[in-house]
Amino acid sequence: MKNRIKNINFILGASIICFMALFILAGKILPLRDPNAIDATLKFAKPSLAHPFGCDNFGREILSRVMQGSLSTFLIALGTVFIGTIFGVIIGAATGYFGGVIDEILMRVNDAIFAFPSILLALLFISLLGPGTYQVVIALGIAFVPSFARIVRGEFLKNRNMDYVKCARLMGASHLRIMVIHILPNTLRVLLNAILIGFNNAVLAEASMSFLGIGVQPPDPSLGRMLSEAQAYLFKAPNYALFPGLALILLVLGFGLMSDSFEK
Amino acid sequence: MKEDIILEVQDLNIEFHDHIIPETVVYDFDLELKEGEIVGLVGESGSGKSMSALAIAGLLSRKDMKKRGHIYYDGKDLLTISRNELRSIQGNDISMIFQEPLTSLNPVKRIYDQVEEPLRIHTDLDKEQRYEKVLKILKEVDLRDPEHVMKQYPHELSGGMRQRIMIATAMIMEPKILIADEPTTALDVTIQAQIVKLLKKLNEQRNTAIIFISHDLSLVSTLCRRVLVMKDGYIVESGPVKAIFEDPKEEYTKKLIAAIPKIDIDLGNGLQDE
Repeated sequence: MKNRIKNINFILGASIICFMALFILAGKILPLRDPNAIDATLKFAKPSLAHPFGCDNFGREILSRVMQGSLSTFLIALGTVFIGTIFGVIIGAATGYFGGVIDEILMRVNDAIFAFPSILLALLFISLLGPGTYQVVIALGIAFVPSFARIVRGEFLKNRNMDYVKCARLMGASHLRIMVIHILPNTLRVLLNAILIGFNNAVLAEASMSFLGIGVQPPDPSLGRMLSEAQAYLFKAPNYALFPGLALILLVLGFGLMSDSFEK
Repeated sequence: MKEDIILEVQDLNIEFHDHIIPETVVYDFDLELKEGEIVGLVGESGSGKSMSALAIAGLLSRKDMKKRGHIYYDGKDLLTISRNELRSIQGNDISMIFQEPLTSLNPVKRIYDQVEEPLRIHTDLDKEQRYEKVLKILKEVDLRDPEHVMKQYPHELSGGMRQRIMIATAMIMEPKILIADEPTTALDVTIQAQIVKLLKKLNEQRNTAIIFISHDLSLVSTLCRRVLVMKDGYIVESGPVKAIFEDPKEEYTKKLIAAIPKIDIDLGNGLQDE
């Protein structure tokens, strides 16, 4: 019974993500208006058949902006999690497997990075690298490495003294082979969960950074930036804030449900 | 006579250095292993028998533990040769099976991949040749329906089957020496007997020398010709099984022999009539 509920969570989450993927894809395929095209006559146009989500303060099409914004949010989250996972796994595996001095040094650096809130840390990197999409990916990616490293380290630590690792060593397997072929597959369940949660956090972190104006640069759309612009017109044009917010909720909800289903 | 000795351990001392005060767990361990011989290593828990075995298998950490003495295999001292050289011997010439067959198998890998692993590490055989070899060894350890078992995961098998898989993995490279560290302790008695029989069969067919570690003297007496008795890190007695059983010199050995459970239940008259 409990298993069934978990499965429903996964199916629901996966469907939401599939829906969002199709939505993003539709933005690339359908002949919609350019998300950055300004038309003064359409300023604050109400949602209608011609403009399903309405238009914003510059008369830009909100539908195509939400589509474009979801795409950039999605890609930034993907890049962030990718960087976090790759470096997290390498650092976590090395520290967890070998222990000793490497472990001490890397984990203390990790602690130092971990001590800062990731947004603050990302702000620090942005101020060094300058604002922009790629900079956001790098900044958030670095901020995400410690949490992945910590999770992977714990798993490697747990597994390295297991008999099957001893057996692998006895077969004459090298350290690299043991780490990649024998231990890594055993960490996948935990890692997958961490990736999905990380994805969620990355979506939210990107949105908050764009909301603060240091993420995706105007005029390019991003969900966070649209929300921050829509603040001023919350009562005049509630649809301006509603649709990007909805897209953000669906992205986070979809990944959240999926990661839920992996928990024990 | 000297020629057929394949493993020679001289004055092996093992000292733990992971605490402030070093602790010695094995003192002056000597062993000469002849080709195709089965030697029993008995003693209570903590007597150092597993430690000596792990040292021979080259599994003890080089950092935390200080080892003195020599372990000669094929003219090389396993304690001082380089890691790469040691790796080429491990799994190839010296194999080991452990007590707990569940944790010895990687839970997320199929049986086939695990049995095949030594071939991937030590040989250049192609896929089909590897498959043939895996199938052959699985048949040799008396597994029923090896084609099916290959595709299963460890949790789907019984304890006895898992131990057979472990033996298959250890034997696939046809090693000269097999170290069996209490291979039957986690199994029930009928399976124990099967595993012991299997080890004996492999020993006879392939002339693999076996170091059989156990605290079960009755098992050792059925399998081995020679036995070493260990206590608190020292070898207290060694010699042919028969001599030690019939005329134990040490008090400790006598106690161990006395500890073998004997079945002498009075069945009562009702059953003896028939």
